[in-house]
Amino acid sequence: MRISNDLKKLAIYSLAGLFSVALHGFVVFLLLVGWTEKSSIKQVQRPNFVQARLIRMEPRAQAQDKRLAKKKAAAVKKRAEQQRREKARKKKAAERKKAERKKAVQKKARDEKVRRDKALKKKQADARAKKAAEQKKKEVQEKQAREVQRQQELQRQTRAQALASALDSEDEFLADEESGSLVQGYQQYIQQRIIANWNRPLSARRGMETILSIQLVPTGQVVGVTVLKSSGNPAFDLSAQQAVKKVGRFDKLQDLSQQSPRLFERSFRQFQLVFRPDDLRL
Amino acid sequence: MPEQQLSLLSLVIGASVPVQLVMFILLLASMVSWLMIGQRWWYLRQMSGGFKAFEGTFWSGIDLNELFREGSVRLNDNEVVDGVENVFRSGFREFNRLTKNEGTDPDAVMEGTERAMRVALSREEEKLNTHLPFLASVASVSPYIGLFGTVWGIMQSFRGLATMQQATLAVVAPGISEALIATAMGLFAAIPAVLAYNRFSADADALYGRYDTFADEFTSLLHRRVHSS
Repeated sequence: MRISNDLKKLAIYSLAGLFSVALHGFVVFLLLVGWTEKSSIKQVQRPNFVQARLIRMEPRAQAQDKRLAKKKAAAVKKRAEQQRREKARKKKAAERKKAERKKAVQKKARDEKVRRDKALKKKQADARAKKAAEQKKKEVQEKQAREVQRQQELQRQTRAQALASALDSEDEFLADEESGSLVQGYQQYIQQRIIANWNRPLSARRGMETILSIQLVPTGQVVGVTVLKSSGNPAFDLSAQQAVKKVGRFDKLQDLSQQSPRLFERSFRQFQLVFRPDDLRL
Repeated sequence: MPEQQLSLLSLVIGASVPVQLVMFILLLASMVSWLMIGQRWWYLRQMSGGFKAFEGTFWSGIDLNELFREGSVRLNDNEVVDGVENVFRSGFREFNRLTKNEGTDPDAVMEGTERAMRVALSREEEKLNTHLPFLASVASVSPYIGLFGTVWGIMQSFRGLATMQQATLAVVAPGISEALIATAMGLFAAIPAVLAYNRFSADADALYGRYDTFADEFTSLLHRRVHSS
């Protein structure tokens, strides 16, 4: 057994290297096999992502009222500018149209003049030619009219597009304008829910009303209720307050806050409610 | 399972270049450190076995000249003479050389012998400790390298997030997952290296201590011989 010293060392190193490579290969293999199994578990949790989006929307709307207002003002300005531009464009188009019409009239007059001159010279001979010219002229006119119409159509289309984009850009803003009735509807809903949970105190009288300030979170959960203006009857105030607390959560408002968080933030994050039950019999 | 794009392989391949570089470095470090571990393990086992065998023969009452000659024969056969036998051989050689010429001061003989053995000992210690600094380096540095890769990857994925309109978890998750692989690899390289370094440096220390003890014993043996004659 005459193994050279160096060769033996080399053999040991290569053996150790082989061991190392094998170990790493094994580990990588294990990971590759194990990983795919884990990834299938992960997919089950996908639906949670929706909620993550909601959390993002909330603080922005809450914290940046000022910026919102600025944005709104910018949107209004933009719209005004757009309208102005549109008006200018319209005016220009009208001018062009008028010019074209004038031109057409002039041409017609000229043609007629020529024709009359010609008719003076050779009436019968030109009868057919005149007819042809007339037809041609008519065609030209028709063409022009069609052109004008097409341009108008185009303009209308671009205007409609601009309007649509403007609508898009300030979608929320317009939606807010439209949503006045929506807000009223929700207010009614809130009122109904409160009245449904209200225990009428004995001392309650017709015409009593108390103004409550209610704070909600986007889930519709009531987080605070205070009496802003007392009805003069502490028992009535307390009963109203307790009714709100008893409702606890306005389910429909959660839908609202999901559909248009801005509207919710503006109208229902903190709002005043005039509590005036109508079904007082006394 | 409709979607399986999130496999480890695709994550590694899809990683950004610096992260891939980090992963490559860590893989290399891990492989080399395992090579060192294998080599060290084998060498230290060999050395401790050899020490036991040599000590057995040494204290069995064998003639020291015989033992020395036997080692020379093995050396001529190109076989390995390692560890404590080297200490013995260099000490004995020096001792013989110094005692050959008559009238040398016994203290001078002992001094020379001790010096020779000290040199051999320090050489053996060096052999015992080879590669251990490398293991220590891998153990301490590779988590940082991995962490760097992770931080870089997360940085990139958040930078990508900045331009997104909708920041869902699904957008960032693959990037972070990819980045975290770097840390995992750093730890994967570091943990065995730490264990091996601690184990092997302790073993090497113990073995060196035994060599040292042997050298002392051998010195006292020679001391007796030089003063009795």
